[in-house]
Amino acid sequence: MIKISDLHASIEGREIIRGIDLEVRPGEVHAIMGPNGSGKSTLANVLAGREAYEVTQGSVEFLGKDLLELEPEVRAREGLFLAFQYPVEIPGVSNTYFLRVALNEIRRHQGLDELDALDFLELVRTKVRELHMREDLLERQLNTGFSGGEKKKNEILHMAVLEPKLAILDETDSGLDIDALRIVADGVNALRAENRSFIVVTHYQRLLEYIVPDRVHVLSEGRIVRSGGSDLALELEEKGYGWVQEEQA
Amino acid sequence: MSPSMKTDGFKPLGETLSGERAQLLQAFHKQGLPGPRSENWKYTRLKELAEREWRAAGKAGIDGATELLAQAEELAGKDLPCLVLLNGRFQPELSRLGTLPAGCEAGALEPADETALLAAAIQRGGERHPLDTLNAAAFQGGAVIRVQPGAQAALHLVHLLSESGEDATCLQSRVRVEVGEGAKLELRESFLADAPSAEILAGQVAEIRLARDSRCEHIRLQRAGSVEWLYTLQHIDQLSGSRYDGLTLGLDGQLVRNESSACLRESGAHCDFSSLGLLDDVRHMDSHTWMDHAVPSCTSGQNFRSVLADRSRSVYSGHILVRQDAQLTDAVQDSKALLLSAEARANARPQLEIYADDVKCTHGSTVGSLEEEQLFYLRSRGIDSVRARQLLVRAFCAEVLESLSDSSFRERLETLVGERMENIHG
Repeated sequence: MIKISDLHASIEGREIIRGIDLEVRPGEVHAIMGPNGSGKSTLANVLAGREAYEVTQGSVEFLGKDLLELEPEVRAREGLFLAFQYPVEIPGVSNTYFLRVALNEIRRHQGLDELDALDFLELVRTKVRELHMREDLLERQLNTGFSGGEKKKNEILHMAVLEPKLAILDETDSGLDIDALRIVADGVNALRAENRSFIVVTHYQRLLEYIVPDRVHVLSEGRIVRSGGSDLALELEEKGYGWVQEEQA
Repeated sequence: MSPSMKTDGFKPLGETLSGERAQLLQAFHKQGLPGPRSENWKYTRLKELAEREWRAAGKAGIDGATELLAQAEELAGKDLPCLVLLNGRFQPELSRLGTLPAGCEAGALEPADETALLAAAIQRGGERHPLDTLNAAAFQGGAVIRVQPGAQAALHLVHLLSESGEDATCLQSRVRVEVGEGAKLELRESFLADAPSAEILAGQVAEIRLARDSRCEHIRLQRAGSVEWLYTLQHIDQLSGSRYDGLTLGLDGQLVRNESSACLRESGAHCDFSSLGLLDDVRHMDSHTWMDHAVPSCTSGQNFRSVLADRSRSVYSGHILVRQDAQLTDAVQDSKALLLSAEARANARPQLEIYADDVKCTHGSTVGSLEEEQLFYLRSRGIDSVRARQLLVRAFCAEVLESLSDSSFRERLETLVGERMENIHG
């Protein structure tokens, strides 16, 4: 699915990612954990194509293509999705309208017919029901005036509608109460499939009780310092990040 | 007083004026045009205006009037009764007033209205706005709309503007609107010009009076094409419990100046001014407001937005006056300019003058380009940057239009805005 090799990235001349190698195969869920400032969110944003970050070294292959050569919108059309840590408020654009435009861009790129407003509405309503979300989310303006939890749930709704091949969740669990966390986790689990992969970036082990990962990687100072199975998350929870950092030193 | 500019270019207008009108033109010459050091005209220069020779329009017709009219009606609503003025003069054969509901009269300014207007203007003399004085001296006609107490009406008022030949043409008109107690008026007003490059100075002065508990929704569609100068001065006078909602859509015109003032003279009145300007090339749109809270417990809102491409410029100057007696005033003012080019400019001057202590007045003003964060969010979902920009600009505009009560009219305006944006998008 995705193969990251010796990736280095910096922002404003400051190197944040200092040589990451990571391969995620179809159907796998990988968790990226690490303390604040370890580069987790940077990695997620570099993969999505945020222009503020400069890749200084290394390569990323996504479904056989050179990901770093693609514009952010083309990455999305090829099947990459980033659930934002801080979803952006866009007043004046309805959630449904936006989502239909986005889905049709992706469908067109993949050679599929575009959906008209009615067909789309039916699709999106089904998704809302499946995810146990409230339908008023659809009529509202994109993320505008949404609570923290609503914004995160909305990201999951977008993911469910756009059906990406690789979804990157950037601290989607932060600031969620237990009910919202469940809805988010159920949404991800429902989408798990043989041909779909996930990279779940999180600070806490809590989310991983609900989304059980195949692999866990610990990031520190821009490098993966430890990788393991889902048990690694529990071990981290117990011993704290100091443990891997000390071991590293 | 700041030094004003000479008005010699307007002398030819005097050739056909006599009596009070000649007297008013003299007063205008004495006042002069506001000069560059006048605070209220800091960003809008009238130098070029002062340098031309202005003549009044003849009585000639207009080419393609029916097409222009059809275009205006398509947008404002084909079913509405329609009152057409050509260069200020009432056009009964183009108008359609048979469908006006009972309790509403609309037609040309009557000689009695004209006499009263001139007398009032003379009385006020030199204190007036020079462009107001010019209008009083030279108006060629206008319209009166009256809605009787308790009645409800909707009307489309159309201003067709046409130049009169080789000279620069000065067109002046007046509109008087009276909405009776408990009555309701939906007024849509279109400004349209025929020539591809019209050397026209179009001035319009409107007086709108709202009796107790009356309502007026007033939408002005300024599609003055290539008219070089368009200025409007409107004054709203409100009694208790009345509500005025005004929206101006500026789509065209080289230099547009809109001044709106309201006097909330009895408690419980609400006045709302909003405006959306879409500007490109070197177009210039200047909006001035004056909101006078004279008594307690009135509310007002102002929402002014502009989208600017190329080397265009917008100006917003909003004055809120809360007099000493006007406790429990709630006044909100907001202006936003979206710059699509590095050479476009926007100026905002909020002015709050508050003499009462128990009031709520807020103002906000932003000038900026599209937010990178919003663009990236849209792109990360598969929408290319051109489309993402369009979406954001439309959204910016939609926020001004969303208050409109007639949803199909609102959708037509949104479509028009979208089409216009596609043309001017940088």
